[in-house]
Amino acid sequence: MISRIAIRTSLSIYRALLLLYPSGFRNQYGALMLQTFAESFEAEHHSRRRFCKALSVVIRELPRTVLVQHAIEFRQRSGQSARGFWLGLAVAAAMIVLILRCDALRLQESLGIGLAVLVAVYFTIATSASGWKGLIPGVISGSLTAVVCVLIDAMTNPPVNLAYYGLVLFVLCFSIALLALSFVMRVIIEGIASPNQLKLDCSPMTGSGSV
Amino acid sequence: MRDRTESGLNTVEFHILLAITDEDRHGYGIIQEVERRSNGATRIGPGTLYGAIKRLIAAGLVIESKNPPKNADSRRTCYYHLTTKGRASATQYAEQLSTILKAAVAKRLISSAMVSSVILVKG
Repeated sequence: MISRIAIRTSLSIYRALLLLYPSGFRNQYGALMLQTFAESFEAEHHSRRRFCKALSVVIRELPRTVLVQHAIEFRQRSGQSARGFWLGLAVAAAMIVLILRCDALRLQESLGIGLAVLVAVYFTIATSASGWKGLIPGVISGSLTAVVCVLIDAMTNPPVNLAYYGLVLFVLCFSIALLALSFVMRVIIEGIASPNQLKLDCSPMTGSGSV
Repeated sequence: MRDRTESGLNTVEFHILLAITDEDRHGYGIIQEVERRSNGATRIGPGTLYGAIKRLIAAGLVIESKNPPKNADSRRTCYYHLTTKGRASATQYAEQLSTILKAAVAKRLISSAMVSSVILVKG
């Protein structure tokens, strides 16, 4: 027998986890998913084994379904935010020209091209993911990463050792993680800003009181 | 979907279509029906269920029912109904499964008696 507190806690956690889904899917199905989850747990609360099995199903499916729905929404947004994408690409191209022509940085050609590609990738990801809103995070994270890479290059001379590449790789991963975090934070903030979409009557089908 | 077939369905989608073939069901009703029909072997969570329903609605195989069943729970707003196109897709998928089953019998992976007994017991 699972206590009602455990069910309520599970519901609260699941409600929070629903924020990981893209806003379009969450707005459309979030309330129904929460209701289904509540009913499923209410039905299984008499048996600890079945309750744990139901929980494991939800936990196992969560990362996969979140990624799939984000991929679907990403594809849809890519089509919708074509203007943002092309603007991002145009700004990136301008930066490429600037980087390659900047003699003061004394960059090797390969490094310049690498940085240009990097900035272009940032712009493309950011603008494709969220249109105009993604442009600013894309500009900031891409430029910062490029600057840090240049600084590392300036500090390590000659830049042909494993530590150099390791450091650059670390900076890249860190900045990509920051960019991803900014998207996740935006999703969470959007979710907090519109909490009514995830509120519903989750009163149990068999017991008394609302979950 | 990795296991998507010629009918355009994957296993989960077929299970969902099968669950609403005889009557309109709500989300949790579909989960229960899928679990019951598979003897507990297949259990789908809310994320998988509504992801699949979204695709099925987009493909025109399922619609949200405007006339819920007579014994419907008044608190529920969403029942799902199989469309004619959905029924055709489910039939096509079932025929593909039947062909595979025949091949499995021919290669003696399973006996024809077992197939008959499964059909008789679960049908």
